[in-house]
Order: sequence, then C-alpha cells, then structure tokens
Amino acid sequence: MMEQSVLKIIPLLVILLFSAQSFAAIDVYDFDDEEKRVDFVALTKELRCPKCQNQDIADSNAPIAADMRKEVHRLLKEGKDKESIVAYMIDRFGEFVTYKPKKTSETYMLWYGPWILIFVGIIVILSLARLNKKEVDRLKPSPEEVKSLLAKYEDKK
Amino acid sequence: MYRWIPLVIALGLALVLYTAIGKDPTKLETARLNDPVPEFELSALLDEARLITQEDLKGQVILLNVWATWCPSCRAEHGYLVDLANKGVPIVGLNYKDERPTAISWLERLGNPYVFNIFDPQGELGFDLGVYGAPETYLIDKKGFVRFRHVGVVDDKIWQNILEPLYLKLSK
Repeated sequence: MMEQSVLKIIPLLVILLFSAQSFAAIDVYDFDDEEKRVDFVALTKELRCPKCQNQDIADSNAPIAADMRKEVHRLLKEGKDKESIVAYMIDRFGEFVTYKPKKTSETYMLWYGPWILIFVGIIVILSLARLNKKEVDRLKPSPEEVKSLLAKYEDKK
Repeated sequence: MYRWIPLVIALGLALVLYTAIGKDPTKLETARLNDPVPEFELSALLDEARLITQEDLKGQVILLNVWATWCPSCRAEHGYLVDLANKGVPIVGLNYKDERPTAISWLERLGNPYVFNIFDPQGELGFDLGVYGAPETYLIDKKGFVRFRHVGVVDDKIWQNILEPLYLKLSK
C-alpha cells in the first residue's frame, strides 16, 4: 500500500524537474580563483535588481539581472575589485542598485531613521512607565491610612 | 501632557506617509542625468554596414527612444511616436535586445518614426545608459548630454506636460 503511494508521487516529481523554477537562473560562470568566486557571490547578493525591486541580482530572473551578473563576472575577470564594480553599477543604475547606499544627505534618513525611531520609542516607553508609577503612587494608601484602616478592622473584631 | 503622545506619533506618521503618496516606487533616478551619452559603436538597424557612434547623436535636440518588438508597451506608444515624428520631432531609436528582421518588419508594418535606429541586440548601450525596462525615452541635448529620461509609454499627457516643455527649452 505504502509503496504504491510512493510510486504515484514519482510522476509528480518528474514534472517538478521540468517546472519553470528548475530552469531559473542557471547561468554558469567559471572563475580563475576561489577568491573571485566568493566576490561574485557576495556582489550578486549586494546588488539590487532595478526591475524586480525586492530581489538581489543573484535571486532574480529578470533579463536585466542576468545582464548585471554577466557584467559582474566580466569585470571580476578583468581584475576589478568589488568597490569599483559597485561604483560601475551605480554609474548606470543609480544609488538604488546597492543595498548599502552611500551616506549622503538623501540617504541619512535611511541610515539613521531607524535609530531615531528606536530612541523616540525608548523615550515614550520610559515616560509612560513614569506616568504609570506616579498613578500607582497616588493610589497607594499612606501609612496613616493603613494604620487607621487596620484600627477599624481591629475594632470590628 | 502625555496623553498627546499617541496623537503626535499618529500625525508624524501621517506626514511621513503623505509625502510618499503618488510616488511610483518603480521609477528610479536617472544615473546618467546630465552626463554625455556613453561611448558606443553599433550598426544601424536598417543598414548593417553603417556604424553609429555617440557623435551621431550630437547637433540637435533629439528623443532617444528605447524599444523592442517583444515589448507590448512599445507597441502601445508606437502610434504616438509616429505622430510626433510627423510634427517634426527628431526621434532616434535604440532597438534594444531585439532581432533585426523582426524589428525591420515591425517598422514596415507600423510606420517608421525614427531618423535612424541603433541596433543593440546585446543591450550593451542599453546597459551603459542604465535601461532597466523598455520603453524608455531620453532627451538628448545638442551636445549629446542626457537631460531627461522618461520610463514608460510616451503619450499625449507625458509629451505635453513633461517632454515638450523641456524639448523646447533645450532647443533654444
């Protein structure tokens, strides 16, 4: 019984082999040395696809991403270093193309915005906590009140 | 005093979000803006023997239109480009990642609005210009500098509101 159901799955697995996904991004690149291959992997993850905005160029099937991978490979082979390859892409596609944009007046918000928000958040939490404590203190009976209440309780006994 | 905090945060957030309304995130900056058209040497679409370089783009203000037969939006704007050409606007075509015979028959069938066409089957000049999706239309000034880029279909609205004023200003 078990074996039969396994057998039924096999055609499905064969179909999966030919799915669009299995043909995705399979261009093959050769490198002179391991270091360049590592650089290639790093660069294609660091560069952003202009067409499909939430993918890096390693991840994207867009033709423009394939072109960019090809160029990264070519430039690495020419002996260019990582910085100059990123600069080469920025020259053509703008600051958008890197996930680590330069710190310019346009990108200050990007770099420091989250820290500002965290700072504001901490202040809000602290002041709310202080407010809460004040409220608790206000409602807390004073020692005299406690005493008189205890006295009343004792009397009733 | 503290009770105003949520309101201030909400207003701040509203302000930040409001500034983003109407912005199209798929429109990127033009990295080549105010730079000369990159150097290139490619054949003309209609005449394989004729070589075109960046020098051929100088002398007058032109529209450089990036198109391809595989691009549906290019088909959509083609009629309007023919109208513009008939009005006397010089349009140079950059036939991007296309096949020569298909592109030629497209022009024969739909009309040819281009002064000439640069044939760029590998997308080399396209890459150097930063083309990320056809159609794109560049305004190139008399000295061969990129002065504007529009990504997407050129229609009456885009021409009259954006491209034509710039075109006239540059042509002076």
